[in-house]
Amino acid sequence: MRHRQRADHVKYTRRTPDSTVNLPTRHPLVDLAWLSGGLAGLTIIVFLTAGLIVDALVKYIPSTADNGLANTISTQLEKSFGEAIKEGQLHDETQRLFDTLATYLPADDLRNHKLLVIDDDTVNAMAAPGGVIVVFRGLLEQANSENEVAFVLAHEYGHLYHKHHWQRLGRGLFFGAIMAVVFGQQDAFQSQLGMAPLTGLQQRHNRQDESQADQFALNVVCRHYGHASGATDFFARHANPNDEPGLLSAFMMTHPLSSDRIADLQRRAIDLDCGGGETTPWVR
Amino acid sequence: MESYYVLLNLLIPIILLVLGYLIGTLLEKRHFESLRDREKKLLDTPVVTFDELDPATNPDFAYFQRTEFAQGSVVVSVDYFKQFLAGLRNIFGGRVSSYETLIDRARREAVLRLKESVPGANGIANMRIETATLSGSGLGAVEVYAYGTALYESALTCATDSGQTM
Repeated sequence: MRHRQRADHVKYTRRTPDSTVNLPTRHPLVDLAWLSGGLAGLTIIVFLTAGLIVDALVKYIPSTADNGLANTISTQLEKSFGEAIKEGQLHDETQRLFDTLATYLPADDLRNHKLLVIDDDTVNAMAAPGGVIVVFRGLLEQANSENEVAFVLAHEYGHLYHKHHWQRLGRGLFFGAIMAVVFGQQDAFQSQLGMAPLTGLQQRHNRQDESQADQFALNVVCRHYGHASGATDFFARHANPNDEPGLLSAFMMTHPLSSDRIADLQRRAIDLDCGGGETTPWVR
Repeated sequence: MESYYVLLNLLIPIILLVLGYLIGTLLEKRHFESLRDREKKLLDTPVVTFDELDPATNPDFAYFQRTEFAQGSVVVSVDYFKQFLAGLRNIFGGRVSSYETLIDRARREAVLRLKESVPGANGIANMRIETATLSGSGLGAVEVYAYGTALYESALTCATDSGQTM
């Protein structure tokens, strides 16, 4: 066996750093597509799961759970929207209608509903936790018949009856908690982009809620007046024909499109055998 | 109105991402070209490691007449696109390739600056690289510091050199 001779010097080879070793071979845009696709998928799964769990649990919340909250919530609502009207013809008439409609509610609705007429020009109404229904003076002043107001009030009764307020609260809390864990200390924009696919999903939930409340309201007004006249007038007047929304904004809209909503209500009125009739005048 | 707000909220980060990607890619491409050019020019300045820098015990070291402390440092920041990609990677785990190019550029730049700081040196002995992250609100930058001993075969010092002759 022959030993190699010890070299006096080690040869230095001139070589530039090898770029293929340390640098990624995959294009960053491919990386972006995979990762954002994964994130979108993850958020949708989390949202749907949260929705299913919350919807299942909300069923077990008794309608009386709202009762203790009415005072706190209405104080809070008055702080945000302004003072409520406590007297006067507009208030008294609305309160009377509100109380009359309450007699048509299903027997299992044990809420002590509370009406808040907010002194504001806004044309809107909403249902809040605690069984509180908020109507703005602007809406009451723009109504052409009592039937229109009755439909709006019954619609809000419908939201409360179907516990949409608890569902929204639950979904928001549940989803927020999960996303806080997933995103942790991430960039605000990052979570914004992660939430993007959800905006559409959330709006779809909202639209389903609206049409559920519409159906409820139609049943109530049909039983009270014996017909559905005036029910859709309010939407018909407020649907702006020049404001035809594009595909994206139609998808994003919280409430179903007015024209779709009217068509849907008319179809349902026929199904309920609840045709036309004389509308009741409204004090304004 | 609400839907416009939602769209605007989405649009801003998308614009930042596109800008970050386009500008970041252009700057990175240019930097890599510059790195390759300068690395070729400095190929004759090898970076080596010795156990001993004493000519009495290390015969290799007897060639050198003079040594000098050499250093080069660089601070690079990530662009919005890279940061976003790394953030997404943080959720799923795996190779953070968007930062790999950044770190590679930073290290090579620091070594080049070290070599460029000692023109005429015949080699660099016992070079070390340190990395520090500079972070704060909205800041994602890294500092790479390379330092070592420049070796000269000639005992002559340049006019600007403050190196000590041995």
